[in-house]
Amino acid sequence: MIAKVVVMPKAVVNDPQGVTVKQGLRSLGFDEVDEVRVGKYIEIRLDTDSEAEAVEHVEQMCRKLLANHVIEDFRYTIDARGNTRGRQASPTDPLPQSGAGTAVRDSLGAGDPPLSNDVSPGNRAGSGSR
Amino acid sequence: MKFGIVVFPGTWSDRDCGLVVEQLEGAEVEYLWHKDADLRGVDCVILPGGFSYGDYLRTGAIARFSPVMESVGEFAARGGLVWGICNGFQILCESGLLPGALIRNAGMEFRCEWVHLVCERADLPFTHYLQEHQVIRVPISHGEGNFFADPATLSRLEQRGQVVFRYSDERGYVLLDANPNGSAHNIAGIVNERGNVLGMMPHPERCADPQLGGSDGLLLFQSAVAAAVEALAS
Repeated sequence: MIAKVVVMPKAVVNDPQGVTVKQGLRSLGFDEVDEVRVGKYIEIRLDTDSEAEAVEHVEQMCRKLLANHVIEDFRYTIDARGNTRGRQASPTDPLPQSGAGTAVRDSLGAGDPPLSNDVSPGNRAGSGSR
Repeated sequence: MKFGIVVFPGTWSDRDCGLVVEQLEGAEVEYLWHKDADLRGVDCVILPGGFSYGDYLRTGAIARFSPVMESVGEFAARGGLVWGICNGFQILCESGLLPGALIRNAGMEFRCEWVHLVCERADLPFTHYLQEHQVIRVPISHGEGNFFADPATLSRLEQRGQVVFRYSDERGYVLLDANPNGSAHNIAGIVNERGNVLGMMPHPERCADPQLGGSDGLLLFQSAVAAAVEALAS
């Protein structure tokens, strides 16, 4: 089982990294870039068969260490497909809330159709747009 | 009296603090290894600057879970003096011993320079050798010193007079131009409600000797010594 955690700066917190990256993208000619926010993506492989336990523990991990509630929000999905070593473990959509309709290209997942919008069966959030 | 200086992997200002303490009349140094929960009877704990645990995940995030920090929390709860400088301030915020958080400097730069601070609390164990509104000159050296707290917390800090130092100009005016890192309300240092836990981004230990360009920082160390000696005598 693998937990995919996204930690983002809260909307009310200034994100100087995001501002700098936005400037970089604009200077590359991407004039449409309106806002950039930079967060963290964390994958945690869990040695457990219980999805309920995984959810409970990952929630605690986020609250106790992975995110600082003063400045950050977190979200996560638990991928029950389990063995996600190597290529098979290609980081799928790190932004599960973006919804299944969003096509996200995964540069590592060369074996998969590049822009399919299928909902991953093992993805607890059910929005595994990849 | 005894200062306990906590050493985490990646701490770099521990010896600087120790050198200052060694020159103080009536003060001794004890270095406290992060895995050691025994505070060895020290009267004031210093969490010095550096990059504890490589600043992995967030500054101070991992250090907060070390055995020594549990003891520091209990020590603070009993009213013991705890003084976090730079990374130490970040650790105190992560531990919840102080409110708020320190985020990436506005402008993304690591700022290493002299700043002026105006002291707004001269009644604390750490500051009673200063005058209220006294301006001191102290170096900063950090990439993540941008103090953030939600509006409710900020207003509580202000109402309760918990802001100890603000970035100012040399006359003590708190101006936007004098803010090196984007900190809310130009905050450079805060204290807990009880007045025994101080966190500050600037480095008083680096300006405690005229040969190093200034000695304003010495006043803070001398204050802490006098406060601890007084507490021991009472």
